[in-house]
Amino acid sequence: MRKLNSKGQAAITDALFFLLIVSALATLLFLFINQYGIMVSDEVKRSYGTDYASSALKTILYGSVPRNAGEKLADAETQEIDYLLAAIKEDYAYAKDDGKQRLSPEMQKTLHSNISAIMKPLSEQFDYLFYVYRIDSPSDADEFAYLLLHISGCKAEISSSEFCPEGEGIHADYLCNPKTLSGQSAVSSTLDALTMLIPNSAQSVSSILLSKVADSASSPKTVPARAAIMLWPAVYLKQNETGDFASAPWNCCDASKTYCPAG
Amino acid sequence: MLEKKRKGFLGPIGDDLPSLVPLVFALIIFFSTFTYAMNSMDSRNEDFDADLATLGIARIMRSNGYITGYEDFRRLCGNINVSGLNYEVALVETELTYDESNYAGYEDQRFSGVDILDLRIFDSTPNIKDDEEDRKASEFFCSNIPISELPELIEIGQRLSSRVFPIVLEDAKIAKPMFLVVITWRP
Repeated sequence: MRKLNSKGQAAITDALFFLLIVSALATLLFLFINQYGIMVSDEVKRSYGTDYASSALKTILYGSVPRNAGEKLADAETQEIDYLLAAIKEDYAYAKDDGKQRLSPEMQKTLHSNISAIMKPLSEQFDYLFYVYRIDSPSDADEFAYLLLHISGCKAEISSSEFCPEGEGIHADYLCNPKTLSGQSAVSSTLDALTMLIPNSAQSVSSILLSKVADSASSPKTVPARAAIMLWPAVYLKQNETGDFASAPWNCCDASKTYCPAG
Repeated sequence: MLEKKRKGFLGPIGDDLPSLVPLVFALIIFFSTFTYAMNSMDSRNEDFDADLATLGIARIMRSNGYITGYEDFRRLCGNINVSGLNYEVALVETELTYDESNYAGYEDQRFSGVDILDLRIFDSTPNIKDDEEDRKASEFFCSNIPISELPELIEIGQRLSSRVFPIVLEDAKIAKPMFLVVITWRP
């Protein structure tokens, strides 16, 4: 009788151990399934970001724009049109030679509306940066002929949590003129600093040749430059990390305002 | 004593009957988790395949990022070779070139961005009535299934995978910024 009882207890203990092992295996399987494909999914998203950036850059530069500000491509009355890149080159060639060798405010506005329209499908989920940058590091002129920053912000104060309360998120476009107070290159304090803070950015860069006409008598001087677009999943950057975009080194203004960019 | 013993003893299996409960329970847990895991993996793999196929189709269509016209668009469509998936490719206008008068057939003619459930496919000759048999011949649209058999995308719901890319289309000697929309779904 005692022997029989012991046998029964051994069997149920074995079964309970079996249940324990199976439960542990099932938990592991659940954990594995939850993680399954995350890397592939990230890779697909990254690939989409890179493809979008490269397509967007081509579309921005090769798309047509009306020659006269205020006209629209869709209007039948629009008589003169040109490639946007050609318009940028022409505008830059005759930009004031006073150290402010940036695109004219009208051209900056045109470029802004084109970029915003082309980036619209991603503008809610992604932040982006478009810039035209001189690679010859001029000491007597602006490094950046143009810089547009589309960035997400949160009206509410975000503490340790990175989530912005629903309805508090905003997207703003800034036109910037990066420049350090010391007169040194602003690339490291702006672009490099920003790149360090953003995750999974996708970038597309194209070399372009601008030119500069000093006066009507001399031949135009070639200016090597780069046009680039960088996009990343929208993140709420804290001001202590990026500094105030309105002040140095970013020197941005709100692109939706009429006074922006300053002439 | 012997009688007592026989009363409590239910036989070799009967005596282990209580231990069968956790055993069966464990087997149920194991097989349901295993089935769930397999189904989940299959579903995710199919999603990835659809996403990759969508990106692949978009790469073919984007080519060098510049479509020179309707013939070029048809040529690029002809290069798509996808099996096991249905797809739709369309060009949609950006707000830069959007002209409300070309979309008179829509309830709300205003530009509404890219809505894959209400695609406003670009037609290079919107004012010319296409004949009934080939009614969408001038629209920048292609698919691997006949137009008459195209399902309503809203019915396909979660099986859809879609991507939007900017692209330049040369139309009436204007390099128009457009959106290339690629939608795939499993049949």
